[in-house]
Amino acid sequence: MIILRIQYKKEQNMKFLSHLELIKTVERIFRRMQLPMSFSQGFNPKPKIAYAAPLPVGVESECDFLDVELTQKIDVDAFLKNQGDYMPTGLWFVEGKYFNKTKSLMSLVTDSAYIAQIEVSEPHEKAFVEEQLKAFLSQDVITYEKKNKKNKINVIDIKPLIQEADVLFVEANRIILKVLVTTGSSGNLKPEQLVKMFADYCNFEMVPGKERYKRVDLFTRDEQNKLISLFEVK
Amino acid sequence: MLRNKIDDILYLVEKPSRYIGDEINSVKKTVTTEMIRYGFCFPDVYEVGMSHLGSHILYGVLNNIEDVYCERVYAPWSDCEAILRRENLPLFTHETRTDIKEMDILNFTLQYELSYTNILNMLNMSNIPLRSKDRSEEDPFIMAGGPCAYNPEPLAEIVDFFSLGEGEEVFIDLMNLYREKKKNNWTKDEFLRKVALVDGIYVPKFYEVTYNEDMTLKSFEPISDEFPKKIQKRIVEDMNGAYYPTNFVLPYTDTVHDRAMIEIFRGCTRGCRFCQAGMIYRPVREKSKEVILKSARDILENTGYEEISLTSLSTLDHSDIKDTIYQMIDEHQSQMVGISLPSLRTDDLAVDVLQEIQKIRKTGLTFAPEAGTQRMRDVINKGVTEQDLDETLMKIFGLGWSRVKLYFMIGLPTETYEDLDGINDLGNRSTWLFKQIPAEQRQGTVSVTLSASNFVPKPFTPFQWMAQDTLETFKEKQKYLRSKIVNKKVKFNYHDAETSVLEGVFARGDRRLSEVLIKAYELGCVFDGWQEFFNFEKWMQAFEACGIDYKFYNRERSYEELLPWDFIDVGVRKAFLIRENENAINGVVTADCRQQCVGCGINIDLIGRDC
Repeated sequence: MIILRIQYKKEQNMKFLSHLELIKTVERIFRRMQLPMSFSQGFNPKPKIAYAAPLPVGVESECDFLDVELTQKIDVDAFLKNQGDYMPTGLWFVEGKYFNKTKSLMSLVTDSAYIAQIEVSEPHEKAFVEEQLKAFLSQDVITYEKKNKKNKINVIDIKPLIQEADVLFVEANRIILKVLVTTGSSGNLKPEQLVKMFADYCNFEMVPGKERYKRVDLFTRDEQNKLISLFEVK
Repeated sequence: MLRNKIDDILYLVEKPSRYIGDEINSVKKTVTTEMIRYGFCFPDVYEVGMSHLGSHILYGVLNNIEDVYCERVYAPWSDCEAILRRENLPLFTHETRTDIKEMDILNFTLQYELSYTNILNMLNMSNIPLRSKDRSEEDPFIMAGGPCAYNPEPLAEIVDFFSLGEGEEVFIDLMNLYREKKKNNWTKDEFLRKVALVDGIYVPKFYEVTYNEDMTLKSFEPISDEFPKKIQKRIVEDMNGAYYPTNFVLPYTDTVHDRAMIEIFRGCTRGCRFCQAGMIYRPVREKSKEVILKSARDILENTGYEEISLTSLSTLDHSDIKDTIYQMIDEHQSQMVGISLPSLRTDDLAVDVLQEIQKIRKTGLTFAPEAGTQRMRDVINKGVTEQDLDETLMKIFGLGWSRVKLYFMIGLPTETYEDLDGINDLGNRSTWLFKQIPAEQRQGTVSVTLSASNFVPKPFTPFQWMAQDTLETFKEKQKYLRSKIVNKKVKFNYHDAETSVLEGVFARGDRRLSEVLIKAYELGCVFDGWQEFFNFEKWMQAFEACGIDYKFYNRERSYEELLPWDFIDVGVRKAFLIRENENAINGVVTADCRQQCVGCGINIDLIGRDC
């Protein structure tokens, strides 16, 4: 099997594409670039393209991955170099690497890093927000209640899902955080959830519609449980 | 800056990707003061507007002119509109996010009557006065075209000028004239006086209407001899040489028709008597196989579409269709590009072609018998026999299809309850035919959808004089059919009767309806084509407030009556329409004019050649 793993960016206007819209757009870009894609069998043949971790509408990403199965190898450098004529502003293929066989991208992903920006009703100093974050993280458990489909309430502890959290920048009402959270099948924490719980903990009143998120990294883990890039998978 | 403010609000709306612009193949130009700014407005949501082929063609025609920048404008969905209004932001163009008020010309395309209130709403969102007479020199010109412009009168007080017929050539004339306006600083009135003399352009304010006591039209005359008495539609004579886009703008969101659209011919020779498109788009002008295949190649290369749709009024009537389709399949099947056809007639050719197409992708099948009995089909001149339908269904079921959709109309002239029974009979016959196929040949379980729309008499058809069924009659007929159709394998869909009646009013309306339209809009009517918004009571209030009985417009008319659209010449002679109307009443079928000229006059009068 010839699998080309591609790291891509989804920024600016492209952040407003839903995952399904992204899938359709990428398929058409590949067709325009005349990539020799493999297709599924059946009445409605589809090219074989798999994605690492779908993003919600409105979230930008500097680092995302897809696998596309090809019928023959192409020159990756030329592919990256020529993409300019085919890409809408905001979508960009950063790097590509061939794999023979691989576990599905989605099952590989373990962690992702985000930058989160919020606006709160009162201005604050950076030192204060840092202190608050430290206190927030030093709680024994960090829980919220979630109703499941049967209307039963589950208590969820997100503490084990927070790998890192830092205050990057505070200017008056604007707070920017960087977080590293567990992502994937073994546990999943959305940065929106983390930020909301932190704001609640601090009694910060978030200005609606002013939250901005950007994914900046996506990781898997090796045998030693060390974070590695999805390109470094064996 | 408007651009950034709109970025902020897009975080708050449903499906933001329909507002972002920046699509692959959208046109980017540097805006200059010399430039003619053109807003191509589709008075419905993006998903509908982007599915309209004509808009893509005209977008290309206009942007090919160097000093013209044509940008697209759509009606925002209600959530987005509410936020724009709350934040005091205007309606904006997709390409540059500019307030539409800053355009030189706003051209609305009229695809269906029930989108008219959206035009008003779109103007209002950018604080542009609704009535022509209230707009200033600073406001853009409001222009309109498209099939509903063949009866422009209901919008006469709102739209400054109309373009009648095919836009490919007239738009270039128009831009040449507008360039002069800019250069010479003509006033709006000076420009309108000149544009009124361009072939295919109608400026309503230069025409005066008087009425008889019974409300009917008494006279319709230009206010001065300088303006033409009759306005002839524009057509493109040579489709092979005509502009056709190959770099279609690619929507991100799912649109109604999201595939490579290839027009293979214009016009239709079948002569179905209810069909406005079949009359107004005459004569038939085909593209050659080579031109079609090249279009397909270029479009696929530029868009990456995975499906081609051959869009024309009766696609399989193209004289070289079989070869064209087979060759197209051959060229693109390795890339898994499927081909889809619009609703099909029922004949052998359809079966052959379908068999070939389904090798790549299997799609649902739609056939349009239009009426349930042979008598009714003869009245409307739909040359399909029950035997045709039987044979076609047997063949396609035998090939492994199990789901079909059959289109019908109810409320057709001379219709009886026997004709309605015929619709149910065809449903039952279809499921029975399926069971006649040996079990090892058929696949799945049969499912037949009978879809019934309500007949709306349209201008420039042989039925333009006919009465439309009343609301009550439509509802009774629908109820009757609902109770008749008991077969569990048959689904029955039908259209809302109120919507069809209102469509009928505006289709054959006169300029007094402009006020009703504005009143209805003021009462809150928008998106009338959408069930979740349509409010018939408010429309009734609007008619009452204007002192107009809507039923006046649904009534039968005599051949002698002056019709609001009589000043337009679509090339099909009135004498032909009258003859066809008589043939309908007598149940006499008229041949497809590919076989023999039926004397509609189009080629002789419009182009100057025999058929």
